[in-house]
Amino acid sequence: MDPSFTELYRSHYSAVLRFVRRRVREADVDDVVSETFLTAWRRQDEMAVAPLPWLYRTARNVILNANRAVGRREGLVVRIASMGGGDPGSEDQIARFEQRQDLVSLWQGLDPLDQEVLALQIWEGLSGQDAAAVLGISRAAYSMRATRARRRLAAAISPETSDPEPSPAIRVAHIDLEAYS
Amino acid sequence: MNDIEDLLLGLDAEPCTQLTPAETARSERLLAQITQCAPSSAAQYAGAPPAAARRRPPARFALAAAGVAAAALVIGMVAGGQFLGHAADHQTGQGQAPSGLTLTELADWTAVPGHPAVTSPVVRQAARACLTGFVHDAAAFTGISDVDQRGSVITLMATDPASDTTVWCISASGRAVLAEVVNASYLPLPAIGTTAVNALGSGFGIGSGTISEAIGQAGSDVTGVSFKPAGGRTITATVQDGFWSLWWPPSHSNGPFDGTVTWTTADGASHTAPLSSIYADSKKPTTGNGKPSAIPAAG
Repeated sequence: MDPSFTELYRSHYSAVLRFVRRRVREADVDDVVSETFLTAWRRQDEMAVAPLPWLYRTARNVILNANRAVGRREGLVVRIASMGGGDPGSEDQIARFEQRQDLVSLWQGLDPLDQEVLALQIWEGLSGQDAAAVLGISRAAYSMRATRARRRLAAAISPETSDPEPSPAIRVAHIDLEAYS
Repeated sequence: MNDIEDLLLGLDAEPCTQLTPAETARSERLLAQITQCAPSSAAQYAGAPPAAARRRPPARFALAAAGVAAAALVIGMVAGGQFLGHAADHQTGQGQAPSGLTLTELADWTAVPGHPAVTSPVVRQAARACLTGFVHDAAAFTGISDVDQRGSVITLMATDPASDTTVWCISASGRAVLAEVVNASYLPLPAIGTTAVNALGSGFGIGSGTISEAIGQAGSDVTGVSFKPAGGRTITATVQDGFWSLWWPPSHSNGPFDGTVTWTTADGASHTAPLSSIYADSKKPTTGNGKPSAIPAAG
């Protein structure tokens, strides 16, 4: 067994597993993880310094290719945790709970690429440069997209924050929220 | 961390936790299965990102046969990751061909390279683009060598002396286009005779807008290397510090995927061999011969 690959595999298996679970249904997780690491094994010479972004990019391509193979054309959606239905408690906690509920709804209305831009940085913990590399876009394009996506979410959950260019999805979300207030 | 990020952190569908015993067992089974396979023929795995580092001949030719444009391959992170994906970005840019180079940049290609100084602004810009775009720890890559200019396209080798990692990179107009790993701890350079050359990697582009390239080691007595692609004219390689490298556009030659390497040695002798016959065996013991000396980029 190649010691360097074994070390790389054991170091990153858990992160890749979580990355894949955030993006595909449970039944497909093992297949995607397997294909990702099999590709890594066959292309070890491409992972010289920072293998994790390479693994994420490969996993993402595996998922996108699988989606294309079954005729799915929508972008790759990143799952967000669902909100529990328990008693949130104090007034502050209620406000926080409502904010989180709003955020879940808004997240689901985000463009899939905006979801990915935020997820790579916040949940996968990548730098902007690495996240841009995963997506195959420039750092500048990544930064612009991340800033806009954050601004949209912030504007939607914090009324005092202005959003100069709200997306259609956010505008819909505003209407929905007003209807239930 | 702002409020939105704080809120989103709490909504991670897969927060960081220890693997369960069942997950650990499954991961070890997968590891055993994977490492039983021979690491070859990357072309079978369409899920992989476009790749640049193609060192083993079967994989290289498999890539070419699969129609993967040589220059569409990126490591990005080392991006090779390390080197991940920036070339993919450029592939889709306005006016840019699949290689990540514009048609104008491809048209300006020359068979004989120029060699601007490593301290010149154009090389500094190229090195900055390559390191920013492709390597994870750009500051570590302090050695720049094998600078080759064909038209407005610069190729160079960047070395991290601490990790003994060398990448070959293409840059144009301040953009990082393509990078390949030439030397790394897991792919040590083979020993090479003083009058010999070998090929460490090559990629053959297919179709309009692609590029092809070849990189190898040159022994200490090798004074010049050229390559004549099958169906094309002779291209002069850049030779420095134990390496030779070159690239060409499809207008010059667009397959078949071989050619003749000719090299001259200090005693005046000329040698030729098919490219396909001089691929290095990465399993051979390394002696350090052929590794580039580090030229400080800031020097």
